[in-house]
Amino acid sequence: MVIKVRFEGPIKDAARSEGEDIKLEGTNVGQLIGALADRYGPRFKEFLIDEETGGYKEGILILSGGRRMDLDTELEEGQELVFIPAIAGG
Amino acid sequence: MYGYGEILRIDLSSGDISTEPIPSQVIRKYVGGEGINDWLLWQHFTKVDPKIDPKGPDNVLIAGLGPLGGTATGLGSKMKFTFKGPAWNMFGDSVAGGTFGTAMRYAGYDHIVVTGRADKPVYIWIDDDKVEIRDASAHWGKGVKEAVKGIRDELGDTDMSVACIGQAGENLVSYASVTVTEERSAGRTGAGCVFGSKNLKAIAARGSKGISVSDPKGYLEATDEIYHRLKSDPTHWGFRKNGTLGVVGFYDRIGGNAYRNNQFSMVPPEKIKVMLARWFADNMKTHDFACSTGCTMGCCQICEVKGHESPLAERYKGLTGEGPEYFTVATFGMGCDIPDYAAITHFHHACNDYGMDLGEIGGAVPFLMELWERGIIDEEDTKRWCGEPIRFEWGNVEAVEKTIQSVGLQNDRLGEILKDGLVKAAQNIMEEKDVPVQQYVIHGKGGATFHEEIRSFPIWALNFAVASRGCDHLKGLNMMDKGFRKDISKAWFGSEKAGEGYTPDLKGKAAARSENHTTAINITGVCVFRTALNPLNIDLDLMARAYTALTGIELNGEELYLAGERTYNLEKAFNSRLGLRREDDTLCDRWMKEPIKEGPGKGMKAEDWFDDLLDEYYEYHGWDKKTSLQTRKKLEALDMVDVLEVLENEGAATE
Repeated sequence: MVIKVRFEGPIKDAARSEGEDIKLEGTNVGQLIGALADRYGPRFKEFLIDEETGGYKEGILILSGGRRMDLDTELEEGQELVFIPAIAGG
Repeated sequence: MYGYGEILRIDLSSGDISTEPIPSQVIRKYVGGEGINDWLLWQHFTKVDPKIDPKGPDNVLIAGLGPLGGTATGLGSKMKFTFKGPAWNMFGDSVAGGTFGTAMRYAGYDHIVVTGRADKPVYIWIDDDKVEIRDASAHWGKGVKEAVKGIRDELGDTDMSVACIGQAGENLVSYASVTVTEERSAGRTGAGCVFGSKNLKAIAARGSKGISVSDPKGYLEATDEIYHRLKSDPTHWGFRKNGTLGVVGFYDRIGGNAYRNNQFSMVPPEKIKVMLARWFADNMKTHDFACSTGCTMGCCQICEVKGHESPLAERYKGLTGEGPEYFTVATFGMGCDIPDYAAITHFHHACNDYGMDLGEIGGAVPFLMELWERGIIDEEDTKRWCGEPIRFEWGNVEAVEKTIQSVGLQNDRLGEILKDGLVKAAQNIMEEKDVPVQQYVIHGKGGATFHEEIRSFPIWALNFAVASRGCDHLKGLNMMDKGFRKDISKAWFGSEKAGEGYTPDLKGKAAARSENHTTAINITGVCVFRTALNPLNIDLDLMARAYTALTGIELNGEELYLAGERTYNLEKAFNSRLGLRREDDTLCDRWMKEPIKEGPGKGMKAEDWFDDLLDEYYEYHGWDKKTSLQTRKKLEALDMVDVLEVLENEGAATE
């Protein structure tokens, strides 16, 4: 299936890309990140994933329709995912 | 004593100046910064009736910076002004970066306590052991930049740290701010008004003593650990890259922005595009900047308006200095519908120069614009108010310009209407027009703030309703529901529910614990922007380790948290003495009753969960659910029997 990925803030720097439409063999977010790591290199994965726990690093968010996607969340054809760090302040 | 300075007391009525050490038992209980500021406030108001007029000479102005502030800890330095707040007539404090707090500490003073009222305009000059009260007549009536330059020229030091008010503070605007060296604003709750009420234009400080360290090796090891942990945190790099402007894009993705007086929570895409951090970086930013001593992040951004970047840039050509924060973009860009960074930056600078709280003015102008849209006010009104038929249409920069000027200078009816804040302004307009307008006032706990969508994020909504200093997002700063931080929720409560978005689950507990945690950070004197937003990265144990190495006083993370909780309870106790109860912890009609119209939180409104979460919030704090008052059991557990006795004598505590 084809998934639209968009990168924001420092994740864009880690990927050296604004994002793209990616053809995915797998079905969930974890598999998508694996595919993106193959494409953008290990630095990209290191930025997102905690090596020890295998989960997201603190504050890394992958959103779809404003809602958080966990690593095991199943994806749908044509879905748009935004990779963004969670910040607030004023 | 390692890592600590003294208390400097200045009475502006008598001219008396004295110093004293901070009592060691007070350090044990409240650590420093906000904690000892609050203790000094509490002590003052055991001798003075807390129900005094906060604009009168009996109020007290306390400036303080905690022990890790001004050091190389690597987390920045944030000082606090503490006082009875004239903006909303309750506990008041206000925080600022800049270098003033550090200069004060380097001169040997962790806290300055100013009482009384000078009989003519003065400023205070601190140069290590030399402390003087000097004539400020030549600087009175001037904006902050001009006044600071004048004071520096007079004292012959162009780099000196100065905390200074503009015309708004002199004119006793209740939400006047203090601008600190020279573009960091202690904005909220009216510190500038307290300066003005004391005829105090500024405090200038220079210090050469530095801060002594008990265990230099242990201290450097702790700071090295802090630095490496920061580097490993992806959100740190997000903040470092764009500062708070990164929030614009993030909130756009989660429905967290507020548009046109929060009638909407999604900003039209073509407008959000030119308010993104990326637009600012590409078109106006010149370089990054760390606002305070010891900051290794540097989230401030310096900018220049060249004159061609945006539709309004020509008008502000040549403007240079610090760029706006998310606060200002939300206020003018979204709240007033002026999606133009050149204009937003200009208004940011104008508010700092007149010295007024962007939050309160950020509530007032969008409110007037909604009244205009609804036909409640018109050109006849504005002509009567300010001599010109100003049109308060969405996006009209002239209306914003005139409002800021009128509030600062207090030279017309428009300024007078807005002098005591948004809620009072609405009452003034209702009396004049005989039309109900309260339903368009955006406020929490009776005070205004900048707008963001909080109905879909119950922790933030509760923060706005319950904060000890009134409507505020910083007293319990956290990322659990807005950042979907299930990991923080799990670590704090053993459940991920507080980190699940768009639900009320566990959000009352999360709001309460965030207040204690944020206060624990504030009492150390560092910036909350990394520490509170990602508490799993820089945890309280690590901060306590740095503190112990600096001061030689044993402290662990749990004890630091308790000192934060104790401090927050002192603020609560102050408000309880003023008569504030559960019914005062509230949100405006729009947030309570109107459902969100669009975006991920569509349909949510606060009244659906507010009372249940308030119960949960009080319960977690150990306060009485019915009244909100503190209980004997809780205050005894916190070793605050002295506070309990005062409250019980006044019927302001329960069993």
